[in-house]
Amino acid sequence: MKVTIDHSLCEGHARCMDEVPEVFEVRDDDRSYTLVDVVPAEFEEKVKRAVSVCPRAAISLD
Amino acid sequence: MYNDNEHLTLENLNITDTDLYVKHGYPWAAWDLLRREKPVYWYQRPRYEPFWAITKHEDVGFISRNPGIFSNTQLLRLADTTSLKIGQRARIRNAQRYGGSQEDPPDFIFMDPPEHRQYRSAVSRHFTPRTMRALESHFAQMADNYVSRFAEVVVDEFASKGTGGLVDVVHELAAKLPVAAICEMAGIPSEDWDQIFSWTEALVGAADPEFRLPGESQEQTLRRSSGEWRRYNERLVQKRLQEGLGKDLLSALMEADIDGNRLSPKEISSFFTLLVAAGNETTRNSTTGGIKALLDHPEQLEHLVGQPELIPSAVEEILRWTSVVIQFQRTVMEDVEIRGQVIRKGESVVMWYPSANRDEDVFSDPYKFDVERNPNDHFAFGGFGEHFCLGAHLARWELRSMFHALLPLLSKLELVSEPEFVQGSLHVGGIKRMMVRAKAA
Repeated sequence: MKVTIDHSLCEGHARCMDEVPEVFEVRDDDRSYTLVDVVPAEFEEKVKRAVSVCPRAAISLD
Repeated sequence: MYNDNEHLTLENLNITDTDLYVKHGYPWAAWDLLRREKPVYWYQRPRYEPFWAITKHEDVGFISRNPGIFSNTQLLRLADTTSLKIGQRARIRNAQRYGGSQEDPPDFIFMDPPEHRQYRSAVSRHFTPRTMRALESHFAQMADNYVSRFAEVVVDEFASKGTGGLVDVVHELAAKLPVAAICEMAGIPSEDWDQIFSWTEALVGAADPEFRLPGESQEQTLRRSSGEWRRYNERLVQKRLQEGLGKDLLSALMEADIDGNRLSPKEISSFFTLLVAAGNETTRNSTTGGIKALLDHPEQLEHLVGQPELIPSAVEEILRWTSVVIQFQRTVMEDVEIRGQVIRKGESVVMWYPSANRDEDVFSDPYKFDVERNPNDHFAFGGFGEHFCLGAHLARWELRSMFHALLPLLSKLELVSEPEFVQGSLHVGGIKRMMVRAKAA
């Protein structure tokens, strides 16, 4: 599972980082960045939750 | 028990009659019925253009995630045909008087991506969680001051009139912090905050005769207050031009860069008014509604007093419970299916947020007010996506500060009567008065 963040939408609400700090990091520019290219299997469920709670629907999976 | 009308049917239910909202509050029973029997419902009633009523959380989420299919540029808020005509005439008049075209979006909520993202990003850094957290102690201090002053008024009233000493929560408390916080961010001097508050009341409540001057029609109230507010904004802009830009929202709009262009004076003024009005109207009603919710549920209040660390969670529940924004509307740009129902290009959908926030498929025991509810994926700030409320974190920090300061006082208060709702408002469930008094010892 690969995860990407649309930076034209992300405003640093940080809900993703709250859910999975191992995968998402909000930096000083108020944008979230992924810390891994491929989501480790153990975090897949949490990452799906992060996708569904992102206030801007900025995270997508493929 | 919420189906208070046993004769309610899909044919006779009504979710648009604002007189019913004033008399009975939100039409929970009708929304419950729609979610159960026809969550995508073709709603046809007098005085409204027909629309698809969307009442399920999942469907509100789908529409909000797909701004390419569901457009904001034509119809944004469901309104009766009279109000729509007033809005249309205002656009024509503004184009004649201030330039541009009557097709111009009145503010940036009326835009779709990519344009919407460019405009929104001109101010979004002022509203990030990081920016808001930096203001936390400042908000806490303001909330403490407003609550102390409110407590004094309650005590004075009780001292002079006993249990006959009534105090209005809306004007004496709930309105204060939201106006102060957004006006400070906006760069509006404190001597003008009362004026900003009354313009907001007039713009949002023009359908209610209480907010008009004697003899004025709804349209005249709107014209006068928006005209006065526009001229005020122009003076603020002039001041910035003479004295230099600051770190406030007005300065951010004045230096915004959209593909190498600046905003027009008309855009600066209308976007500024949107931010200030949206920032003070909504949180005031959540505060008032939250006070009512806690007074109506003394066991929840007691629980919160014992564990103030639950305040952030309680605030989320207050946001869900009060759902002060009732609906937004979208126009469908291509044929699309929701729950098997085909919706044709050109038709409109209306998302009913309070209904989504009582959806049994998402919230267990949705009619229970539970300050510990978790998860609580409410849509009080709209569905997640392009137009998610820009001021969500501002509202959260204001509400947290306010209820933190208010907690010790709340159990000494009692509600004297039900809240009095603003008439004719189908967009925000506005409370214009809610009377409380000190409990007799």
